[in-house]
Amino acid sequence: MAEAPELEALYQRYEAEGFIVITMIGENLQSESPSQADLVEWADSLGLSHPVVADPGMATTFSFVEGNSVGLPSMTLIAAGGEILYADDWLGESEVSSNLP
Amino acid sequence: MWGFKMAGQHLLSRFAVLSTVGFSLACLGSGGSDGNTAPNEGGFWNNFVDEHIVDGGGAAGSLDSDGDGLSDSEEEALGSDPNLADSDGDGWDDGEEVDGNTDPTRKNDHPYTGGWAIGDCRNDIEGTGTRPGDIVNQFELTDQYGDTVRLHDFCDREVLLVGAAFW
Repeated sequence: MAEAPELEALYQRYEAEGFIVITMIGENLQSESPSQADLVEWADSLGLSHPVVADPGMATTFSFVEGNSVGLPSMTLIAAGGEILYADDWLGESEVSSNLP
Repeated sequence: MWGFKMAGQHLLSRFAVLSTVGFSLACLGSGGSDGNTAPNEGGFWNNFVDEHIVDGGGAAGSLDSDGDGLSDSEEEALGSDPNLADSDGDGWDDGEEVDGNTDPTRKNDHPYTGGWAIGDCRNDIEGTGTRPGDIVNQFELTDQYGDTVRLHDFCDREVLLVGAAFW
């Protein structure tokens, strides 16, 4: 995912102010649910320090979108306290920085 | 007679002094004749009891039998084992778990290997859905370290969820 380094940079920039990124991987290269080794490879190859989790069948990713299709990467922004603010294809730094706790 | 009297008086005087010294030592140990002296004013033995024997519930006067950072009374309140530093055997001492807002009696609940802090509001979030405006539902997914990541653990932070695939 080409956007991964930018997302990691965003995480590191705002982590101390109360921000975290969670990347949910739905499928590996064989279109199968990712193994832990796949997650490690993803995180290590991209230098990610935030949580990278397996999302079998993309069930969790799909739960945040309308309809049966989703553009990847999909993004959902959640405020401190749990309110869902945005669910969109792409969210930028302005949305993140303006909703910090 | 006079000499004997003088000797007797002398002996009586020495006995009085010794008795006085003994009484003073007793006072040091008992904290005063009425036993109502506060611990810090009660001398060596009262302080020793408070620090090493009596479980007073406070940090200064509580016994921590297993050295895990939690007093025995705190462990009893939590349901963890006061004689076992890692009660649930998950690799994290009980004190570390409490400091990290996790349950020292549940093996699958412990601080993240990845080092991400867990909010103390984690059990206060009640999800209502997955659409903008909803309070997000809880989910549990496995991370790159094999830990179970619970979304509500990050209740005190802004969270960006990114859905992606390897291809």
